Amino acid sequence: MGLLTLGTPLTWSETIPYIDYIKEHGIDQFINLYCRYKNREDAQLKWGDEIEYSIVKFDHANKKVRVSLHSDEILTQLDKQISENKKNHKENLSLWAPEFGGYMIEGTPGAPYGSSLECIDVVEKNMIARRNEVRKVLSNDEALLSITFPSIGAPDFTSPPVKIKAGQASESIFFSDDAVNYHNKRYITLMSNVLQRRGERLYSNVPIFKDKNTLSPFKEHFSDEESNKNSIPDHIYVDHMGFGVGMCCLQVTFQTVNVNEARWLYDQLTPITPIMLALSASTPIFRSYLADVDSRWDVIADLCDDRTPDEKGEAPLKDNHVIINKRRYDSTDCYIHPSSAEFNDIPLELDKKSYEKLIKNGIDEHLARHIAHIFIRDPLQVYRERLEQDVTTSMEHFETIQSSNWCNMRFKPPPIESPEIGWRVEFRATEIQLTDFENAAYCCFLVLLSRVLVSYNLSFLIPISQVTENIKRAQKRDAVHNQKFYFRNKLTKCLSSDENVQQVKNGNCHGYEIDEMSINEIINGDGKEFVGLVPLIRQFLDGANIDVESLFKINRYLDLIQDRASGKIFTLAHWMRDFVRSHPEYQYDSHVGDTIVYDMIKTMNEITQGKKHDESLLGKAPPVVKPKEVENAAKKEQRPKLLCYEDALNGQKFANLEAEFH
Amino acid sequence: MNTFRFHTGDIDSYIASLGSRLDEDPSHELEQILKIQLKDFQEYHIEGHENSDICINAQKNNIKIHRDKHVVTLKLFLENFEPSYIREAINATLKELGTDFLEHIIISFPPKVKRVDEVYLAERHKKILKVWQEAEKLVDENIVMLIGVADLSIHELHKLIEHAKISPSIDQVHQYDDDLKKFADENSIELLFHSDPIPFPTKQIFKDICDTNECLHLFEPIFIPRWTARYVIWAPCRIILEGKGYIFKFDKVEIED
Repeated sequence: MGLLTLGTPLTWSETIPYIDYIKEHGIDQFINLYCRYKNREDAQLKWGDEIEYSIVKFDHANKKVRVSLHSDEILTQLDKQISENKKNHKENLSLWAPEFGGYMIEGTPGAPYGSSLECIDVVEKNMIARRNEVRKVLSNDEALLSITFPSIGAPDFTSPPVKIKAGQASESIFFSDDAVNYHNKRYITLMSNVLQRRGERLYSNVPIFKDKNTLSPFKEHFSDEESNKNSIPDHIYVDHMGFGVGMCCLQVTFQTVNVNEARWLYDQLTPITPIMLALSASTPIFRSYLADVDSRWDVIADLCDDRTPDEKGEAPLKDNHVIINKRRYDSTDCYIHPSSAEFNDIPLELDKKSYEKLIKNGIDEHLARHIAHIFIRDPLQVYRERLEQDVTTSMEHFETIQSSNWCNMRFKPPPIESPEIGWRVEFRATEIQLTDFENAAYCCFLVLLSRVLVSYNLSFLIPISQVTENIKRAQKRDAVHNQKFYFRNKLTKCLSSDENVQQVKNGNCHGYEIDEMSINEIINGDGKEFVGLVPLIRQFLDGANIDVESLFKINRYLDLIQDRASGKIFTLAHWMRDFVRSHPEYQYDSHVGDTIVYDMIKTMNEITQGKKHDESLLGKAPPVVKPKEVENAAKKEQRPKLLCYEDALNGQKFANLEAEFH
Repeated sequence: MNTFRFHTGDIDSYIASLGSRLDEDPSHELEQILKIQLKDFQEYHIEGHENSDICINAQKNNIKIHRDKHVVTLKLFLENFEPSYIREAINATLKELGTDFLEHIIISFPPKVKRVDEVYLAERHKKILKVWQEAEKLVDENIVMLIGVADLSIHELHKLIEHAKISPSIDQVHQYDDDLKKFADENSIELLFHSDPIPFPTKQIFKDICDTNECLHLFEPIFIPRWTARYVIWAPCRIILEGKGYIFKFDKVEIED
């Protein structure tokens, strides 16, 4: 269940008088929750993925493809099927949620995946089945793709066409507010509140890929002065939140055994986020222009930035503001387990009142700092009907702030309304992949890596400032081959997550060295001291008593990761840039014309459906799961085999329990 | 001292020291770890009385098995077809791990010679069966839950199933074979994977270590390994490896000058 969609969202000016009240009650809710569940243990590993999809509509006659603004109708149909299943006590294979763009939907498995390695291909099967469910309700010329649509904001990019109305809230000159999801008011309200708080337009300048014939300097001339002022030469100017959160990504959430392991794993996976970002790069085109970056990260971050000019240091401070160094969509600023404290080398802005209250109520300083830091952000989505909340039964005030801090990792307490779900961590940095095979591979790599970290008590912690730097590098064009990242150059153990805090303070991880290593060295080993993350996982699996069939499948996933890291096969970003540059209609001027977009999306759709196999993207070997296999399983009503879980959660959405829209 | 055991303790604690020598071949990993452990031979915990049930522990034993969370698998590499090794190895493992039953054991028999004939194969089958029958007793006594084999061919498996009271639940193999998979499916045998060299080179590993270690130079010709037991403690609910270790059994032999 997402945050209830019923209710009247407050505008920014209506929210202002309640800010302190909401923060205070949000902290109370967290304290209450923490005290209630701090000793909670969950024996079972449960985990899940979230994939965001774009719905596109082909105009074959005119060789044009547009995004299809039908997601709310499609969701209505999907929800009907979900309710039908619930009524007939059938499990739901997947659950669906709206997203910012009126052409986007988000899918998750109907219940969390379990802890069986034998079921590892269930992940891919579930993802394929999800797509099949949606395909049934699409029209013939529509397709569901897990990609970031390259022509967002380009002329005539939606079907049906929507006008850019004068005086629209976003003031965007490219993206009509009518292309934002109508499903409920929260998205438009969220965007309006960001704009109102910020006090100026949202925009981002994405470095353009300078090709042979690209204008130099590349500078577009717009009819309104402010756009001309905000846009920088040699950059692609984008000016609507939809350019950012209209981009898709892949998120993975794990349940941990207790709060201590959650804090520890949150920390240990943090240095892995920039590695995954580089390895999964899939966003090289913005507004139909080739960019010099391969990732969505900074663009979304700019387009969700609600900081006022004084908070950014561009004007004298006022209204009790403080300088805030990062955007609310950004990489994290601190580790949260006591044993990681020495790596927190960024000054942390804290909401003082929140911090003091947390400490007073027995929360340790490391966790208190993290929570007080996320509480520097004002609430942007508050519902009039639920201003007053019972802190013992609701977490909504906490969640509205927590879920609008969009970072590379998220620490998630047990949801108060779902007692069967425990402490979790969410890995949020991975870029979306084209096929379910790839999405499943990246998910499985992450799950297995997390198991290896816990089993061997390994630590890859580096100063958090270096993680910030790595995230910047990971977005550059072909970062997977051309960039080096701060990383520990050999395996080092850390004290177990069960160790006493005092002991940990004195004797934490030493004997490590940090080097700047390539993705290939990190994933495949450097031939010297560092064995590589994939060989490490393979060694771990050796003791796992896996049957040969499952091992074959896992190895196919690990092979994909290894080959992406070594450059044997391309990231989607590289593939897309290559496709454009080798298209006969490309003029080497960085502009991706409509026909090129059409041909590219058509090809991508064929690859997704298994009708085409591109070795440069996917490698030589045939796919692990054949789409026919899944279709037949679904037909024969073998639905339980497409969901591998120990206990049904009655259609509870596991990974997406709060009103996060990214 | 005529006989003793050597227990490595949890070897996953050494993983960081192995660096890039961490290998898919477990025997390489074992060799590296033993080199580290045996560098300074004096510092061991020796338990047991003179000439009876002596065990040398390379590390302080801090393995804790929680029966509701953990699953223990043992792979037993036999140097000879000696049925008594089965109970000996299982008892030793139960003692070292402080538990009273194991979930799975997988028996790896001494390898075939290069040139085989019908007589050899028939003899071999008899020996396999005798060893297997000891394992069956352990199941009857609820000491082991499932018993399996490693690297047996379809023919050998077939013969074993024919004459055994309890069929093997597992065949652990090094290479995938469609025919074998079909046979395994038809006979409810789970086909698992291993990357152990065949035979497991315990003898060679210890010989190499002794040749290069001053303290141990007399050790190798006097004592020879009889069996190697590798246990893996797994928390299946979380896909977590809790511990992995080796227990070796050595006997004194007569040396001819």
